[in-house]
Amino acid sequence: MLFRQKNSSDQLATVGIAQGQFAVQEITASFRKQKLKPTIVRTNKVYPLVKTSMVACFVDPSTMVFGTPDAVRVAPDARDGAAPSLLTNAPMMDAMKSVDTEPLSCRYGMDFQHGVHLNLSIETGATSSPQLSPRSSMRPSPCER
Amino acid sequence: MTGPDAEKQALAATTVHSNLGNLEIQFATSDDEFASLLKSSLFQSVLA
Repeated sequence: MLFRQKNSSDQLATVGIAQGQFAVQEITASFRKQKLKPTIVRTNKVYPLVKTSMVACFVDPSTMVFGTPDAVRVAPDARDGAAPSLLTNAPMMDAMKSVDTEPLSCRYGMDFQHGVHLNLSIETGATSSPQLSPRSSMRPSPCER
Repeated sequence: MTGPDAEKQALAATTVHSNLGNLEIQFATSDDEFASLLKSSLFQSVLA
């Protein structure tokens, strides 16, 4: 997701949002074992990812936000109501309504175990009844339209 | 084709297949290359 960090600025920031069933306790235990200390944002813990110079934050057990420190820092703000969220962006919400009426559906899975792996299947509606089949090794995260 | 290495590697690591009405896109890369890709002008322009 790409967004402007300030209303008066053209500077853009990018955050990635991964959804799935994460083993949060095991992952945070691994961070502690590596002596990585989180930055606390209210009740949220933002952990550094040493290899990539990015940071990551589990905003809930099934949602991980990752990206540059400045970008990820504002994600909990939006989730906690301390900054405007996408839900307050009328043009974007209108655009999403129009997408909802299109005859497309998609499923995707992401795997961060060894690098980054993304599998995306899109049903275009061009045939009668194709079946979507996310890879069994992935954690499927439906984004039905 | 011109462009930074991160963008070329991303395109090379992406495969697209279609089967009747099902379009499948697959992408795989390393942690370091993914971090570079997030900062690339190609990634920024696609999302803008």
